[in-house]
Amino acid sequence: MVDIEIHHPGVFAGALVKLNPGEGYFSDAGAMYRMSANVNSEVTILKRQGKGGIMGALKRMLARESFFMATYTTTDGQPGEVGLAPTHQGDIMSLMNTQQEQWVCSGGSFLGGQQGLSLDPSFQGFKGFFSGEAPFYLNVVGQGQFLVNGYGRIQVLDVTEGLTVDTGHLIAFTQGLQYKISKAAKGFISSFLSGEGFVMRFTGTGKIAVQSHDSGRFGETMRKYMPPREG
Amino acid sequence: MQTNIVGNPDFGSLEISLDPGEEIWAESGAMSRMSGQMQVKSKVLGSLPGALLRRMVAGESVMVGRYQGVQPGDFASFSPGLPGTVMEHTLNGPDDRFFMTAGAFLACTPGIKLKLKFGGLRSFFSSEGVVLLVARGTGTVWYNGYGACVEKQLDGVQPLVVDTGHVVAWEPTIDYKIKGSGGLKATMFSGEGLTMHFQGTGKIVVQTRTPPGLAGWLPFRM
Repeated sequence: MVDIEIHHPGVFAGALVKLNPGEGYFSDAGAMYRMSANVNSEVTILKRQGKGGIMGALKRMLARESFFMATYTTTDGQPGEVGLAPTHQGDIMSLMNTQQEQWVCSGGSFLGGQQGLSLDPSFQGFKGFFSGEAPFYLNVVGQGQFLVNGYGRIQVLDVTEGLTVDTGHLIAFTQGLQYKISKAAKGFISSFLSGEGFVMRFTGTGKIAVQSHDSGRFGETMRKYMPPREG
Repeated sequence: MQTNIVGNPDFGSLEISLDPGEEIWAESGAMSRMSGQMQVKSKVLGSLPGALLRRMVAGESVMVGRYQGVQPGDFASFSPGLPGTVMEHTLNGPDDRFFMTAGAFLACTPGIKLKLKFGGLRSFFSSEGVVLLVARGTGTVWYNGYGACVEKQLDGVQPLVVDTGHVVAWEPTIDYKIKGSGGLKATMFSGEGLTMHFQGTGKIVVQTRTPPGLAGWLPFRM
């Protein structure tokens, strides 16, 4: 079990991973902001098992199926530390992937995980486009601990009787849940006039991690105040 | 209805639970999550032609979302587009009013009448936006500021000087004048010359940061 401390929870959270000899941890290649000198970082490309055909190629193109990941291990048989932080402001939360609870992360929410876990980018079909989110999610495979980051505060909600989540607020959900992208209100006009447009309607039993704020809305709000771009 | 403000002053949100039939109105797009059965409708602020005109002139949102509880235990959470603080104000009667700058409105109970109002000529100089949102009636409004919110109770004697852009909301028992401090040159070149002088007896809420401030600061660093 990897020892993790989450520092400065809130606006500028960071995670400190304490590696014992022989243990490994991996993250998105850009997430490391500090590490001990005895830690080796090896960058690999995460790829999905190739599927042929036109659809396979199209999916790979759309789903941005390769990411640079870095794996951290100590080189000298001594313990070491790795500090990880997201690019944007907000909190970090530690989650466990178990046989009973297998998580699916939205694209930008996965920060890092214990070696032994793997990520399977899964194309969510064209409903991903309408969600306004990246049309891919990461299936977390295997058993172990991992970190997610969120824009704002992160809360994990137990779902038994359905939950509707605005697409910009989803961090991760467990696989016992199903979702449909649908209109927020009954009619098209009301949905768009209510400002929500499409939402994700989850059914089944499981957990959902949500973020309090929506970085897309932050961008939209700020854009009104920004000077026009040149060129 | 039970309401709870969480996450201030960094990432403030409003969490509510509704009994069947109870309703809350919220800023367009502010809903982050809700229980599966909640009903969503929308509502125009004021008359439709007037609302559309204001949208064209001022770029303001003219709609609110209406969220209605269907089952016992229904809940929803609302967050502003910007990080910051969520505040609450209670209105007690048909003539009780509360002014919010455009963009500050988050949610209200359905008894509240919401109207957009031009702030007059002086508002062009205030950089608070030319449109104000006026809430009126009996109930509660929730609003948000970018950064922390500071609430001041004015006593009718001592005025409060606020830099333009930092005003979030105020009671109509107080009023303001735009004043230039320093000469014309200082005003034009410092960006600090124009201030709002609030006077009267009542509450005023100011924010410690402004979105235009961030928008002006960031591009030089990009």
